[in-house]
Amino acid sequence: MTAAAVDIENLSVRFGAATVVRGVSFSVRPGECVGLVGESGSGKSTILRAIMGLEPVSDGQIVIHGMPPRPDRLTRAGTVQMVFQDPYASLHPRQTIGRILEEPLRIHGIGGREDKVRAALSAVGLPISFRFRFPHQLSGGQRQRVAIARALILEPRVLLLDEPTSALDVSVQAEVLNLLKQLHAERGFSMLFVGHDLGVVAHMCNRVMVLENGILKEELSQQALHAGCAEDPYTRKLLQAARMEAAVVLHVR
Amino acid sequence: MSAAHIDRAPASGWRGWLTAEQPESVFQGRAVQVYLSARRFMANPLAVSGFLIVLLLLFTAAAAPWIATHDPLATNLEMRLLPPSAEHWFGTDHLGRDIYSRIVHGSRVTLTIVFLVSILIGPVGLAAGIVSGYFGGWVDRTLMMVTDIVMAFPRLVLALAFVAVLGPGIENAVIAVALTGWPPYARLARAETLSFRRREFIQAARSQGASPLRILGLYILPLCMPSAIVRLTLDMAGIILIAAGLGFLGLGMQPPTAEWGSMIATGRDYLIDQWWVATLPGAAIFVTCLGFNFLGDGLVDVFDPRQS
Repeated sequence: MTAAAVDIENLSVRFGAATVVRGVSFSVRPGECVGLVGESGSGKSTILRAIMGLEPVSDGQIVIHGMPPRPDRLTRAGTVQMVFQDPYASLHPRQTIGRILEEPLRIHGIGGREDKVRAALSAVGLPISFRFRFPHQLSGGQRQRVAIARALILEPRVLLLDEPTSALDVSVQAEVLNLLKQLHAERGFSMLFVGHDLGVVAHMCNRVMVLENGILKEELSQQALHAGCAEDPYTRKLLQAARMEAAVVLHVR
Repeated sequence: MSAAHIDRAPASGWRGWLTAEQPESVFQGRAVQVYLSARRFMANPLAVSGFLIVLLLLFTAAAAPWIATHDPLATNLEMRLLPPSAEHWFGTDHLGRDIYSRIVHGSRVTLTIVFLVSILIGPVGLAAGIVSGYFGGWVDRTLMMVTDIVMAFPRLVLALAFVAVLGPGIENAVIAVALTGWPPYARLARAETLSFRRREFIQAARSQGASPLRILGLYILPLCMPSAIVRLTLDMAGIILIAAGLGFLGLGMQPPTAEWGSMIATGRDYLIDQWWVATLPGAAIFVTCLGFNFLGDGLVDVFDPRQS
């Protein structure tokens, strides 16, 4: 039995008087994809940011691959990486794509950067000539591919995804999701996928955690999600909303 | 076939290389950016004229000994207060010195002051601003308190007091001007840093393990530079005016060295009858300030990368 990829115990995050995450515990097994769903403000993104060390942990602890609770910058970055929600904001506007992809390698003092950047670009299905372009010369989907390439260039064991497709067109969403699925299958990293679209999350993940107001409400297996059988009334509401949305989409088509 | 269509047809040669949609090297990528910026700049006639004025100033200062017609320090009391003529293009002053040559040599003093003040206030202001904006908390409060205090000083009066204590001269004039010149840059850089700090590309850099120093230097500083450079160019006029003011009051460059401010000061006794003695150095100050202001306005357009 190997240790969990991410083990979260009784995690709380407070900003001043507001408690955003209240005593959440769950774990992600190596190679698994776990979904986190909930309405906006339910604390799902905050959990990711706390794992990444971008938000302070007020209570409880986060253990990543058996590391001590407060790993140093470089160790953490080499193990966990994150893809942000908005590909228009997550790439530095004045760095070329090549430079953006090189940055993690430079920070970690890794050599052979040129080859690694080429490999990273082709892994996400972008032409190698893109490395001389600036982010504003790319479409949203292309930018998100760059962000995924950047997150994976350090070969992390855990990938955190913060609604990676919600800022993209519907047609592009599927492409990016399939790319993630394919990379996940090839490389075997663990994924923690935050989303508000239950359909997308069910497509990607083995298990789904439902959050409401910073509290973990329910855990659902993929089968349960597809069958639509949830115990918790809040989860049922989410499921119903997702089904209605799907119905509307079908109707429009 | 429309004109726009012809425009979009792939150009050949170096022009095609400079406008390539898909650059093939880092160098070409940069060259394309520079070329497009230069084209935006050239489209603004005022900016170009400002650029030419500043270029002329630089040339004048660099080539002063060769383009001056007389020795700027040579006095000749028989030739005093002569009006502009073929021999003395801008006339002579009360000691018979050639005003044209003195203005030419005076440009060196002006440029020295402008250059020294800029390399002092730009970096100091930027550093204070981005550190303050990025770290926040007590660092921010302390730095901004210092900034507010310095901003509350009347600029010229403090410079006067400073020069009065340390003694007149160009170095002290520079320090005096710089001492009160940096707070606006700190304010500007802080405001911009605050807007970038929570942006996702900074968060991304943090999650890659970038140190705060790296984030400040490689991520935030390049974004704050353009507005600081624009601001600095627009501030040049103010710096030149203060330097001239100190010179006028006898606290800047010491005689007999030619300095535009002190030249105006000597001319004020003859303002009515020998107008050229004070007016022509004044015109030099005016044109130079105007040049820097036009250039600064033009740079605003250049530094917006999304306009292309």
